[in-house]
Amino acid sequence: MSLSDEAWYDDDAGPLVRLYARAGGGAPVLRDGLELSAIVQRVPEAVEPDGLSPDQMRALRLAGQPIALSEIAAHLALPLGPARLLLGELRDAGLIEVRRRDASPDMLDRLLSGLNSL
Amino acid sequence: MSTRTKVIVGLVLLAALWAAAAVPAFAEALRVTSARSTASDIGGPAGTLVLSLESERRLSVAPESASKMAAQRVHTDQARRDLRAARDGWTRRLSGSDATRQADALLARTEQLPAIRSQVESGQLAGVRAADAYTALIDPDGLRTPTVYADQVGDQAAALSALSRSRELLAEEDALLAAMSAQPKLSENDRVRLTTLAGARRELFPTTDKELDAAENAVLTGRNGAAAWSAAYNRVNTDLWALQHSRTEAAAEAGTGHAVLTVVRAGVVGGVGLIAVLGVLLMAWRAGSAGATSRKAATVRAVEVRDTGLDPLLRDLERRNQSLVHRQLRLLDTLARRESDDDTLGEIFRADHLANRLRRNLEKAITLTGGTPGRRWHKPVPLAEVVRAAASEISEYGRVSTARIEPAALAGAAVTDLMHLLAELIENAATFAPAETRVRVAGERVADGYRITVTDVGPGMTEDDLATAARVMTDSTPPAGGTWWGLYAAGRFATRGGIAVSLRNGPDVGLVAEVLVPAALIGTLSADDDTTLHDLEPVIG
Repeated sequence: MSLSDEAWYDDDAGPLVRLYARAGGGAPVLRDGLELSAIVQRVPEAVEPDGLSPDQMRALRLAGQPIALSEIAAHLALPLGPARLLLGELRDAGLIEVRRRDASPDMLDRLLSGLNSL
Repeated sequence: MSTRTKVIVGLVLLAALWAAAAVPAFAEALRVTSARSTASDIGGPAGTLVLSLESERRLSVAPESASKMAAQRVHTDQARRDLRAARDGWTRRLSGSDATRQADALLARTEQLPAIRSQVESGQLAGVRAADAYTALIDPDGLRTPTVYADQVGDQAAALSALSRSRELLAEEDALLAAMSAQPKLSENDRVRLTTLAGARRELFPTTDKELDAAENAVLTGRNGAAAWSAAYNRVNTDLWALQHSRTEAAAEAGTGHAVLTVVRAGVVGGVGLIAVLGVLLMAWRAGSAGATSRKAATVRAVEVRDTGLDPLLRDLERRNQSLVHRQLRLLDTLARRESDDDTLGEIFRADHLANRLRRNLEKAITLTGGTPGRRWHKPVPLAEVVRAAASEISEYGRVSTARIEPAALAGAAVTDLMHLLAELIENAATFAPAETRVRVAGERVADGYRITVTDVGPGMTEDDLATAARVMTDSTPPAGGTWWGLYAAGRFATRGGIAVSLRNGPDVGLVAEVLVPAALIGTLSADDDTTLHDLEPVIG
C-alpha cells in the first residue's frame, strides 16, 4: 500500500470561502418575490449595520439604483440560489426592498409588436 | 479500564459464550436420550395394558366364565400398576415427553375401570355399550393409539400409529362381533358400524389375510362365520402386534444414530469449550502475576509502536479521507450551483458546512502529526478570504463578522496554517461568549506585518488562565485533558507559520486574540484579486 500524497493547488484546491458562507449566516430567510427578474433597490434611509459580509456590502452598493436580482448575482459571481438567499437576508434586515415590475397592458402590447417584427 | 478488569471482562464473556453453546447442546442431548429411554420403558407396559383392556372388553361383552373374567381383571390391574411404576421412575420426572403424557392420560382414563366393572357386573352395561365403554378407555376419540411415541420412533411415528390403530380397530371389531353374536340377528345399524370399522382398519393398514377377509365377509353378509373369524382374528391380531413391536424396535434403533450424535456434539461443544476457558483462565492467572511489572513496559511499547509502525498507516488513512472529503465538497459545490429549489439548496448548504468542518478536522490532524494538508496555494491569496474561510469552518459561522479586513495578500504557503489558526481562535471566542453576541475579526497592516484581532464580548479569562493559555500555545506536547486542546492546536499552527499569537482581556469585557503575521508572508493585492475594489456601476436597461 503506497502512501497517497494527493495535493490540489490554487484553483484546484477549491474556493476558500464556500457558497454557504457567502450566501449568508444560514438562518431561514423569506424568499417570496425574489424571483429571477425581481428588481431590488436599497432602502434609502436604512443605515448599513456593522458586521455585513463583503458580498452583502457589495450587493447593497449595487442596489443603490434599482437592479435585477440576476444582475447582482452576475456581479457577485454567485449562482442564483445563493444570491437569492443573500438578498433575502438583506431584505429581512430592512436594507433593500423588492420593487415589483408589473406587466402593464401597454408593455405587453409593445412586447407583442416587438415579437411580431422579428 | 485497567488490564485486570479487561481480563476479567474477557473471561466472563468467554465463559458466557461457552455456556451459550454448551447448555443448549447438553439440554438437547438430555432430552433426546431421556425421551428415548422413557419411551422404551413406557412402551412395553402401555402395550400390555392396552392388550389387557382389549381382552377384558372381549370378555365383558359376552361373559363366558366368572373365573376367566376375574383372572383377566387381575391381569389388567397388574398391567396398570406396571405402567404406573414405569411412569413414576425418577428419570421420568425430569422431563416431559410424548410417552409420559400418553401414559398419564391412559392411567387417568383407566381410573374409571372399577365403575365400568361394577356396571358390567350389575348388568347395566352389556353388549355393544360395554364394548364402547372399554374402547373409550383405550382411545377415547378414535384418533390416537397410546402405544406409539414420536420421541422414540421419529419419522416412523405416522406409519406405526396407522399399524397400531389398525390392530386396535381389529380388536374392537372382534369385540363388537362378539357382542352382536349374542343377538339373534345382525341389525342394519350393526352391519353399518362393522363395515365402517373394517373399512377404516383396511385403510390404515391393509392386511392381506384371505381367511380373515373371508370370515369378515361371511359375518357381514349374515352367514355364520363366527368360528372362522375367531381363529383368523387371533392369528392376525398376534401378527400385527408382533409387527408393531418389531417395527418400533427397528425405528428406535435407526434413531439411535441421531441421539448418539447429539450426545457426542454436546460433549465436544461442552468439553472443548471448557478446556478453552480453563486454558485462558490459566494464562490470565500467569499473566496477572507478571502484570504489575510489565504494565509500564506495555505503555512504552505502545508509544514505540505508534512511532514506528502505526503512525504512517494512520497518516495514510487521514490522507485518503482528505481525498474523499475533497471530492465530496466538489460534488456539493456542483449541486449547490445547479439547485433551483430553495429548501433543497438549504439542505445542500448544511451538508456542505458539515463536510467543510470535517475537512478542517482532517487537515488539523494531518498538521498536528507533522504533515501538510493536500490543499496548497502557490499564488498569494486575499487575506479577507482566508479570514472568511476560517469563520466558515466553525459551527456558528453566522455569528462571525469579518467586515473590517484591510486588503492584503497572504503568501500561499501560509494559507492553511493561518486559516486553521484563526478558526481555533474564532471558535474559542464563539464558544465562551453568549450565543446571541457576535465575534468580530478585524485586520490591518502594521509596521512588522499584518495584525488580525478576534474579539468577543464573553467573560474573558482570569490571569491564571491567560498564563496557562500562553504556556499551552508554546508547548510542543499537548496538555492533559481536552480544555486546552484548541489553543494548543492554535499554537502549533502559529509555530509552523512563524506567526505570533497572544491573548488578553478586552478593555471592558471579552477576550481579544491577537495574531501577528510576519511581513514576509504579506503582499499587496493586485486589482484583479481585490474583490472589494472592482464594483462596476450596474448597467440599467
